[in-house]
Amino acid sequence: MSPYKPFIEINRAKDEAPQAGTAEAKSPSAKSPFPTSLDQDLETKTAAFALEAEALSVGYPGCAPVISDLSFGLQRGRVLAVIGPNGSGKTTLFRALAGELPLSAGRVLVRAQRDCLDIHRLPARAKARLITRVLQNEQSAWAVPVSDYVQAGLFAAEGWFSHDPARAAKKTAWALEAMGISILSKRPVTELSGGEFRRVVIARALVQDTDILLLDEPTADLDLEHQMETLELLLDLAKTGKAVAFSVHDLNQAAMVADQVLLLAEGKAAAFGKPSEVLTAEIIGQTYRSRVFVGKHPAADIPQIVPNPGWMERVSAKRRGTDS
Amino acid sequence: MKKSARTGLRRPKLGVWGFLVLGLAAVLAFLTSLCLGSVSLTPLEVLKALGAELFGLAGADPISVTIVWQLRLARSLLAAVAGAALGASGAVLQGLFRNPLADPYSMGVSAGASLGAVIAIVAGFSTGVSFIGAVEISSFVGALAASFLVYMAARVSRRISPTAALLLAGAAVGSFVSAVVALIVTFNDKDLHSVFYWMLGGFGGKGWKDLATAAPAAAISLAGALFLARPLDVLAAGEETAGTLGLDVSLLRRLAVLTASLGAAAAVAAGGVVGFVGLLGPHFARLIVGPLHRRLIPLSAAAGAVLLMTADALARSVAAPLELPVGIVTAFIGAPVFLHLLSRTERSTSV
Repeated sequence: MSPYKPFIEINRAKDEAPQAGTAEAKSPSAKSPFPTSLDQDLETKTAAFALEAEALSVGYPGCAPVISDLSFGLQRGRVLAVIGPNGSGKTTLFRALAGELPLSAGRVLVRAQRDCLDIHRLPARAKARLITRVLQNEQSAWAVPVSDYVQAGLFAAEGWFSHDPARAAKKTAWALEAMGISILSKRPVTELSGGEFRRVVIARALVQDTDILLLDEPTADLDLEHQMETLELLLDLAKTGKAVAFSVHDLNQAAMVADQVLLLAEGKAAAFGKPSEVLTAEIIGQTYRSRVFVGKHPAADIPQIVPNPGWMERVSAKRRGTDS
Repeated sequence: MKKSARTGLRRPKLGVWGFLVLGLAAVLAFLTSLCLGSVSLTPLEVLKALGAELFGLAGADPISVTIVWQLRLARSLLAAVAGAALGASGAVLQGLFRNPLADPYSMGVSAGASLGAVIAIVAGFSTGVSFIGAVEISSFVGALAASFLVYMAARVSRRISPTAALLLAGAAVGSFVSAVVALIVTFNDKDLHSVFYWMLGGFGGKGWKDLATAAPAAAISLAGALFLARPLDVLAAGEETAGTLGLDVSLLRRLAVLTASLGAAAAVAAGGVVGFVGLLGPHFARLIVGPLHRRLIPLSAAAGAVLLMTADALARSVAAPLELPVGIVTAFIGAPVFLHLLSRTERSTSV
């Protein structure tokens, strides 16, 4: 996959004189709308979070709350991994953050330019212009060609009436290129493999082009190579100044790309911090109720989690038994 | 960049040719339906008759002018309008339910229209000269009332998705109202024949007045359907995903139900309950232009118009001078064609 580049050609063409484009395109640092030297820029920019969850609670009357009293923030230029056992509330959290689920308490604030907006008070299209949420599963009802399927990402920007076919085609082509699936553009989405369809969905998220991205298990049904590509894409997206959050079951994937890790357990934050702080044998062992071994990744200074060494010993003994 | 192993194969679509063929079919169906009937006219006679009134051309036989303009033209146009309304409504509801088996009557429209018509017939409005078109108006009101009832009934449900609730409520309300119709007919068996005939559909004896009643509602419904095309395309990805893309799904649901019910009610008021047109129109259209609604909806309307005009022409010529209910013709043609389409449809594109 080609490394992700922000979609700036169109903005340029619209906002600036045509001759300014060519010289500056080669040195994006000069005039790119996205900060390139992030660390310096971020200090000022992320003094405010892109998204802030304040004492978030989600639940139904008479039931135990799915999320209770959760506070954290998403920063621009950073990747947040949300981990936790099955049923710990990861998907519910994303739905609540995107403003699609009513809260029983708390609020979600999103910073857009200078405004600070309560996401739950916005209409559907305004929400979708601020936050892109990618579901874990989706299925197309019709055999729509890939390029048209990806174009639906423009709906938040364009709405029911306006449509600029030339701009839509350009942006779609860019997103397909970024995901390395230009060749699929005319294929019906219903005839793709699971991994291809996943990339189509992420291409649509690129077209939606919001500052905040929430991806629910984006690596779930991908093979090893596409898992790594997707994880790298999350980093690339963050590098362009977006705030990225993704949920994942594989703790090592969280360790590999996340700047911060939010560990959910029964709707509460069991831990929140850098991977090395959250992914410890003690915390993981407690939350997942199983012993883990935490070592060091052979190629980087990040934790490497090996599930339950005791279990492995037991299983190894069994396998030796069957071999002999 | 890694290239995908599979190449970009494209399923053949009829595309531009499809539009041309359908346009030609529409003209042919229109002319055929003007030629056929208890008195057969040649296409030339029909064209002359049309020209005589439209452009004041000479040389037309006055009898054929009368047949074309007084008896057949309004009827053909009425069939076309009803077919177009059914086709577009079918496409909208299939898009809303994300299910190719939904049809314009999914919202209980046909049952409601039957009840309205039966009440008017039993009350004797149909025979009296005093209130012309009472059956049509009553069935129109009944159709809209039933779909409103379905919509309200679906809102009560909390356990299933609102769209699935609509489909189920449509089935429940539909069979309930049908039972009421049966009950009324049981106690008024002198009207059995006219009720029976109405429920099978037909354009016999319809004229300009009926066209004036049905066309405005059908036109509003068609315009509404076109306006829903883009949001329906977004909905293809599923309701939850469509929500994350910025679509107000509940607003779309309300507008789609309103549009489709209006179209189906207009069609039912024009020609009674005619089956299969609203199901087949969108299926034909999807074969020709693919599943994107901005092309699918206008083409479904065109396909529906062609289907119903042809069926009406057959209905009055096959057993002339006896006239068959058009619903019988559409079912005889529609059912086998639909089964054939089903066998051709790939699994991935179907439910």
